[in-house]
Amino acid sequence: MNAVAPGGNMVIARNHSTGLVAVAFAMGLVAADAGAQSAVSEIPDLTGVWQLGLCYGGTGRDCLLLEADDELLTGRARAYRDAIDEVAQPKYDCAAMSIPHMWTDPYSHQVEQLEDRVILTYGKDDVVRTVWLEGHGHPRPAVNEFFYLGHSTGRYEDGALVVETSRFTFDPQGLNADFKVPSSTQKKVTERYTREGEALVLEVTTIDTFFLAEPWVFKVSSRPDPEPLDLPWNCDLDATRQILKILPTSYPDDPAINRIEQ
Amino acid sequence: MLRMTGKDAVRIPGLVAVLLIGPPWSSDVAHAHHSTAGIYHEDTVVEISGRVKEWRFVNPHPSLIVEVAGPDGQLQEWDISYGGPAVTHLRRQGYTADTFRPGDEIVARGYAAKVETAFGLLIVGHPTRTDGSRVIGDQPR
Repeated sequence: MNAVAPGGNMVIARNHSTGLVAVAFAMGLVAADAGAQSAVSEIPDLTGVWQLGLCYGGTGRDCLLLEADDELLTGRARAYRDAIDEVAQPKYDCAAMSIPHMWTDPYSHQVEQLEDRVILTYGKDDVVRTVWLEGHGHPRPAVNEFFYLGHSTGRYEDGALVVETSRFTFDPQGLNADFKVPSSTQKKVTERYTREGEALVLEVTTIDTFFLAEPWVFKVSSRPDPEPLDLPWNCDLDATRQILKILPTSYPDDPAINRIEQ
Repeated sequence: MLRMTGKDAVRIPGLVAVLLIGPPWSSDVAHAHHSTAGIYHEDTVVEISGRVKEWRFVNPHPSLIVEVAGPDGQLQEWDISYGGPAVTHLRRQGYTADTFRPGDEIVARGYAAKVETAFGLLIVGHPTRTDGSRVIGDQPR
């Protein structure tokens, strides 16, 4: 797989093949090539390792946090939050955070731009996402196929990489793992990656008709990380469950919790 | 049982109440996905001193087990948590898999867990050795 050269280098050479052609045809060719260059030059250079995102224009991370009683939450979301037991959260089985919640964790990530796809590697949970770029004949999932991290397609648009992800499985911690806010199979996440100088700017918009009353939007800015990702993550089951020793269950009258071996 | 349950706690063997001295971690890492609300007595910082039993430098959260002598002379096993930080965060602060070894005597300050069936401490700052030297930073091993 070849990496895409940001800035349009792949098509610029075509302008040199002129020869004896009608002026009108030549003008049309040049115009067409100029359009191709323009399209390719809109590919931002996103490749690299990026530090955790901070609120766009700020220094903190409050802008991207969904609160326990956030006004964005539907009645269903609040009811689920209140009913489900913290100890039943998948994170205690080393389950990864899905998007968009993943972006609210303080870890670096890596972007790798290839010709027909973009690989997003996250510095936690060994998460590697593939964004299938449009126009390359990638198959769509069948109507009954759902994925933990969803199915992602992407395109370059106005100098941005726009990634749309849907087909998520129901996720008990899909919107927030601190406050037990799930996401449904109707979750859709749109990520928009752009460059501003040295910074990578990511805007994330999430909709979920069952658990979000309105779109949840946040925008963060990341700086290049001079260090590689600290992987593999190698989640340790005992370590992730350590806090359960001091975390009482909400349902003490239920049978004792016996986790299956993994 | 060796427990602290509020601001009126008094000095007891192996465990000393001290003034509230601030957040245990940076705000960035505090926003990791493990809310500690309601789990610890976050209005009082306590101090424990004891001997390292185990240090596990693993994800998602490194853990430090310290044996502390209780008021009845019985050893209590304290589970010291750094909260949200993972290996990558602590590594950047200078921690390694060898920062603590079994038998090391250390002092740690933090918030004690509310539950009375186990001993947990959400650490504030970094542990020190019993001679006051730091376990990371300017005191490399």
